[in-house]
Amino acid sequence: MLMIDSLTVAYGDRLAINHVSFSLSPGSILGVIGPNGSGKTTLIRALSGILPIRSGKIEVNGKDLAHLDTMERARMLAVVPQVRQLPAAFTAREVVLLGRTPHLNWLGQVSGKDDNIASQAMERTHTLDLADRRISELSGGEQQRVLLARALAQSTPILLMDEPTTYLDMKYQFDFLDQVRQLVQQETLSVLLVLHDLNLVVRFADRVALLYEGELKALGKPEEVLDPALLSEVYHLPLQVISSGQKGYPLVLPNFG
Amino acid sequence: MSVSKRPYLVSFLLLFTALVFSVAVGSVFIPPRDLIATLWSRLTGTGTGIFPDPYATILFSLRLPRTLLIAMAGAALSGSGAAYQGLFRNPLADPYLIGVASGAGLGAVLAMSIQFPYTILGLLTIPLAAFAGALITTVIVYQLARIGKTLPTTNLILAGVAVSAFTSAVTSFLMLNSTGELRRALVWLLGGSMLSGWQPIVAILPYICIGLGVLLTMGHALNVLQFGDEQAQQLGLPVDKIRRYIIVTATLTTACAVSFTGVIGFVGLIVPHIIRLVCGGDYRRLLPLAMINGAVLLLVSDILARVVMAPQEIPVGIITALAGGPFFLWVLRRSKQQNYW
Repeated sequence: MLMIDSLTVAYGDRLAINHVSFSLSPGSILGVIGPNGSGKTTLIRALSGILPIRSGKIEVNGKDLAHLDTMERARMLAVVPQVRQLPAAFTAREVVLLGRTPHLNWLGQVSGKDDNIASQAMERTHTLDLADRRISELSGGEQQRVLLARALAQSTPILLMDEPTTYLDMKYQFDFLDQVRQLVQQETLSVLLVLHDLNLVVRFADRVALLYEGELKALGKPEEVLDPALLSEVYHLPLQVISSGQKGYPLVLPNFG
Repeated sequence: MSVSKRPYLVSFLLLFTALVFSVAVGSVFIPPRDLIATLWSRLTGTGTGIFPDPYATILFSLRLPRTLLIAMAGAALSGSGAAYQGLFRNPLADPYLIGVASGAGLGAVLAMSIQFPYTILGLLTIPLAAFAGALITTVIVYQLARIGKTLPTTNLILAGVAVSAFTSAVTSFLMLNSTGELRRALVWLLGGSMLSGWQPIVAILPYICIGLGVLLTMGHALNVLQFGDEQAQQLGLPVDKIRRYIIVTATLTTACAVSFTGVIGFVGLIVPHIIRLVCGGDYRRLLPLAMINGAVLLLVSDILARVVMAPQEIPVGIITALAGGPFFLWVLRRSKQQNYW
């Protein structure tokens, strides 16, 4: 359970996150959307301890993150970053094993238990057959799944994902998020998923938070948040929402008149 | 390939061979049988029957201390080179190229020019002064070269060269202004172990042991750091603290090596690179292997330095630079072509 209460983050005088509150319950995906510069990535960086927070509170399972050191925090929250500039020298298995870092002793010794957890994480993300290949030889979709496995190996109740599908083709975007969806249900993880693509968010998130200029503009079920008037105002572009497919998923499109 | 499967065995065999040759080869060649006999008689406390034993004098007051000093310096330069490369995420970070070695040299010469030390206590202060000089240089070069939190290769090398030129100039000035004993430091600065006997070894042993020991515990942290500061922190690594540890220990280790063997370049570039090519980039393996093979490379260079122009010795730094210059260009070319490391 992730609880964020009146979180405020600032770069100098500019408030990048302005009194944002929400909670994220186990077994669910919260999609975070918003135009560029709205504070989505800042939110992830603040939650994972990269940026200091100015005021407010972040709690995981009742524990205030402000009282935890880097290592303890990394046992609570794992981040799935975008695949960019991964060091070429490591094999997929070595990368996944690095997810065990917050659980290792000061020498960084890996035990049989850590090996097993890494193997399980790779099995769950279907990357076990890539284990001995160098990360640089893998495709973007495969690399992203390896990074997901690394986050799973961290054994945290919360996963933060920062636009994990940006560099993937459409098919891999769907495959990846499908996998995340299944994991969330199987293991009752909480996932905070920052995405650019509004239509993917609708398809995979249980709830959606809309950020705009550091403030929480809307929070609720996807079909509630995806209101054409609200979106048009926030994205500075006339948008329409149509329903697609048999289930009638909302689909956001520019309104060309 | 068998070398990549048993890297430790191969490395230790190389080290053993290099040690034996380093002890045996020189202006007087000690045949293997006499070498063993002399060592054995010293260990058991019995004489060889010949008195005075010429081999024993050469062996115990010249060859052995020099061999050990060179081996330690090689391990230190190569180990700290590997650590700098991991820390700065830059394949060309070598203690010599980034100016740390010259900074250490300046520190050492400053300490020597205040009072040329012949006592153990005086000798113990040289590594410390070298350490101070090296640490200041590292911080200056890092601040000059960095853009935000990244450290582009060209910036690093340019800042290293500039700072290095400056500190070398100050060092030369100090030496030209000096008289007598300090002039011998010129030979030392070119990378020939000027001081002989066991005293320098006693003087750097504690620092080297601490430095190399701490570096060996940093393998996992360096692996995590390869993913960038942000991911490293999200994986639970206290990045700022770890960076400081690594900088301080790598610099201490470099300073020790420089203190008594002078500014020797390229060992920290050549060895970690070859190991990365053969055994991969896992720092938990790379660090110990770099240390062992760094000792090997510097021992071989030192043997060459003794025999190429025998009976005259040439500074070992010249040998490593002759090999290292072309190697540097080759690495530069490779790192442009592919991001393999």
